[in-house]
Amino acid sequence: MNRCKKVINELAAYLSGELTERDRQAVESHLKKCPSCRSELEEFRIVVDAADLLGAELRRDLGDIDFEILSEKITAGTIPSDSKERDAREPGRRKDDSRRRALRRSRYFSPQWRPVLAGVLAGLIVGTGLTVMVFRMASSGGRDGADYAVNPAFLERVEYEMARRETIDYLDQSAYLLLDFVQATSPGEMQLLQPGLSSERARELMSRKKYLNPQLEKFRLAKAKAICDQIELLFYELADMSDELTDEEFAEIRRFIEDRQILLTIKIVKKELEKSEV
Amino acid sequence: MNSLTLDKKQGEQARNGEDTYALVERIRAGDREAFKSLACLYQKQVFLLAYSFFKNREDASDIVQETFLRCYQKIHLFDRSKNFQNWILQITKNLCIDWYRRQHSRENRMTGEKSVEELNLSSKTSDRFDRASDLQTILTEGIKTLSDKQRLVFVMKHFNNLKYTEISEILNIAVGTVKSLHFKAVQNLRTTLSPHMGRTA
Repeated sequence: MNRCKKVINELAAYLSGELTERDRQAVESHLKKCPSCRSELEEFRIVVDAADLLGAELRRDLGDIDFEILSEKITAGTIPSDSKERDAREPGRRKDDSRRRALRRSRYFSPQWRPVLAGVLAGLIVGTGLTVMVFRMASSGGRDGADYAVNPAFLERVEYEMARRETIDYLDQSAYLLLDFVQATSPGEMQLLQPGLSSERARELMSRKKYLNPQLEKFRLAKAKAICDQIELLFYELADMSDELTDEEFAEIRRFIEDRQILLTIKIVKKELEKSEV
Repeated sequence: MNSLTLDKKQGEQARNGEDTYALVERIRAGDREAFKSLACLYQKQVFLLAYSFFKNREDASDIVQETFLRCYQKIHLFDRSKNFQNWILQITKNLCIDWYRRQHSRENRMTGEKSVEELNLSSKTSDRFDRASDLQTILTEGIKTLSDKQRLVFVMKHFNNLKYTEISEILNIAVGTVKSLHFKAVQNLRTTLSPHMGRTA
């Protein structure tokens, strides 16, 4: 029984002439002894014969095809003769590449993509325009308060208050620095108290002054501006000087401070500013 | 029979390979005439495989054209150690399967899968067909119901007259697997054909 199963498995190969000589003989010797395998073989043979007949028929079907013309057609369909020279130089990869390149080029610029491109472009232009318009309205319209959520008068007061506090702080810092000068009896002592720092502090205060200037002007804090300008002048010189002041320079600065009563003025202006607190 | 011997002659020429490798080299160098010669040499086998799949000249022609186009595009990938006929039939096979699946799923949606049974029924009720063409019609329908691999092996074996070793290279499977697929295909087709065998035998 086992033997039969093995032989049956070989029948298709046997009928197709695919068995080795040894296997073929083994199958044939079994078939001689086994009638049930013989009838199996006959059924298999019907299928295989029918298939071979069908194959012959298919080939007959194709008999009227002119293969000379077909090969010309295939060649023309593969290598168009107008691009023969160009493609023929390097087939395969070259053709692939040129096709791919053409595809890449045409994918986004082909007619069917044009409306999309136009849409994207229009969207960009309109979007940019709208953005610019919105920001323009916000910055110019804000002043007259037509479409601005915050009351402009309030904003102005906030700005004023900020400027005022900045100025007071500036004056305070300046006064401390100047006091160091006034109280010290010699540049040596000055250096002891604040080694190498006076010119640095002066420079820092000067940069703050730059920021204060427009605000002082805007809110017409004339007095404050005047004193601040004087301090700035002083600091300008101070920042320019080397850290090690000579006795002469030191005395000059002190005289400048005392002559103009800068410290006193600072005090008064500061008081005034503090009073005008909103 | 004449065309069969011609096929065999061409096949042997192709299997010998020397001419083909020279042609491939010339195609790589850009020789259009060489490509035409190559098409002459292999178009029949390619056409036959495609035609046995579809039984339709238009589809087969499309497959043939597409096969040679791909062959040209990939000619630089062809490995000299391989058999060219098997290589090109591999391309054909892949195209056929894609095409067939698309077509077959469309057909199934439209008509259902009862074609074989309907055919059996009609052959029982009418004896208008002579036995051979009756069997062949049923066989054709039966082949369609085989699995992809069984169908390919069966078609290559009986229609393209290929050997197991060649089929194994084209399908990229072991010779033993080809043998067992062939056996199963024949066995399945015998089941399809058996009512007719019993009645007419």
